[in-house]
Amino acid sequence: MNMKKTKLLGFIAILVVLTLSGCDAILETFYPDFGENFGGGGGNNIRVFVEVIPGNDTVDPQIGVMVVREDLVEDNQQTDEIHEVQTVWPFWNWDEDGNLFLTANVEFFNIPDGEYHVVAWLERTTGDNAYNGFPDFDEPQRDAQWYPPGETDPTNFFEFPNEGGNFIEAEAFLEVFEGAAADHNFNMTGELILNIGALHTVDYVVSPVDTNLTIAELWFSLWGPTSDGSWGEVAFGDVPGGDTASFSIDYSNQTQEGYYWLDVSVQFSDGWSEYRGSEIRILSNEATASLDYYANVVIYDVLWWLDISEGETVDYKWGINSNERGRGELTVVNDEIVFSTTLLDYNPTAVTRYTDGVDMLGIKIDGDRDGEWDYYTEKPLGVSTGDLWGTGNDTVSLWFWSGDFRHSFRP
Amino acid sequence: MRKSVLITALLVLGLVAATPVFAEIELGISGTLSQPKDNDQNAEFGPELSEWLIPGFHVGYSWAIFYASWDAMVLPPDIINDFTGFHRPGFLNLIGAGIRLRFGPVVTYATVGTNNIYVYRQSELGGVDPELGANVRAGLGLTFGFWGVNLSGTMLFSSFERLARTFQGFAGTPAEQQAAWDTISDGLKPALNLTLYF
Repeated sequence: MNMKKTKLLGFIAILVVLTLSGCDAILETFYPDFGENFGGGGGNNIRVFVEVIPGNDTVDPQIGVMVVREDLVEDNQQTDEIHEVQTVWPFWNWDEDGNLFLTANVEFFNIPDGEYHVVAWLERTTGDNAYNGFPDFDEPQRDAQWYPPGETDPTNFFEFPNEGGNFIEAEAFLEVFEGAAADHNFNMTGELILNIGALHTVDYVVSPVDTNLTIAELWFSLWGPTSDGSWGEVAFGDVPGGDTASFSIDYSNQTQEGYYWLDVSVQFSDGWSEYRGSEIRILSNEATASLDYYANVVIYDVLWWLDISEGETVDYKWGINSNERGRGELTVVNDEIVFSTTLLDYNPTAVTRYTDGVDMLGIKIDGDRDGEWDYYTEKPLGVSTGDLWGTGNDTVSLWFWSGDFRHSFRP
Repeated sequence: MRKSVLITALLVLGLVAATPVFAEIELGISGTLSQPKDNDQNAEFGPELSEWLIPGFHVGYSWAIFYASWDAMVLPPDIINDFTGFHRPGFLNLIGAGIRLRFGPVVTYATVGTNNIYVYRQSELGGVDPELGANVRAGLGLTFGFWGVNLSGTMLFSSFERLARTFQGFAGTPAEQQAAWDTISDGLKPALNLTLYF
């Protein structure tokens, strides 16, 4: 075969390939994930159109979208599991008046069957929370919504399978607040430690820390040991909001002592959703007399939420009932921050902030050691005689998940 | 103006007369250097190779000194997202017309044309405007019989008006000349092309 024929055949072959394969097939060759997701996978897909009106002080931000699975309850106490997070550089647009607005179409493929909510937020690329891939206190966020087939009202509840098939087209509109970031923390009153011999209905009252905000809606779930001994949801509900929101849980139905977990999710008037998990403890043998003990504190998963890496040194301080009792520095090992308190005195009859004989252990962390406390959390210390052993000064172990820490507005 | 048009016309005619008149088809592949936007400037690893080196396909046709070309560059999702707001891969099609000259084994060309964008599975998307401004392209290379390599530089402009204004800047004040030069040098996309001639 001479050179002329070789070239001719090569030419025809390339043209045939180009013609038959089509543009999408070529792109799938270079980006096989797209081919598998669109063509071969046939899985559940979500596309979220996000539009943001940025503030003047927002410098070149990204848009983030997070798919959170709601229906998984495994061994952990968290009811929600982050399925996938994407952050993208947005498309810049200008309206007729020359005002900038940002848009992005963020797509998720091959989502397993289940129940989800989808959160969109503006990811800052400057400052302490730059590029951390999570909606922070100074980053506006909103639940994405979509219109199920035949519905005229949008919903933020995503479910696969659904009547519309395996594709959900959703949207989220955000507007960046100007000025100081709103404090989206909330206060909650109500007992967190109960004695199994005197169980009763507990009223919880939730109020925004920032008085400029009101509560649009509140959801709660109580998780704990069920009658058959397995772990599950033992109480739940949602209530409308206002300046405050209140709900009640009747603990008299509970027959099991042990640790429970109360999830409270608050949607504020500005669209922000804030979650807090609180440990609830039902004791059968609460220490009835003053006892001396040490608390051994373990804060785990510190990289994911607090963005503190292995080997880093951080400053911490702790206190009881808002009174500082100690501080120090330590190094992160095994993705954990571990320290022991000094000797504590448990007094079950003392009335503290939650009208129960409970010490509140508060912890603050300065992750970047710039002299300002970045995160805080607190936990009730209900001491059972079962926590203690021996006759000397005993130790109670306390585990803190880093996701329960919140931004500290009082650095 | 008339004078410059006349000179250009005479130059083209002269080149046509001096060049053997034959038609040639080109097929090729290319790699264009890009400077992707890092997703996380604090990240330990930077963008992937496919974001730094953009592959492309080339089809060209020349007759005498006249030259038409179509270059399709395979763009990663991040760049398509910058152009369209859709985070999917796609093609940037550069369709140009101009001249191509051969001096022995040396080949050089320059084209001006339009840009067209294609987003993966575009038919299922709404709101994609495929028109994407204009481009200027120039290249220089060597041929070795039925194949050759060349280096090219491509400039993308948001419109033909913007393209014209940039080049008019070279005839303006020193500041305008500098601005035009900065525009060219900042936006120039260098590429290495491997071409087969038929």
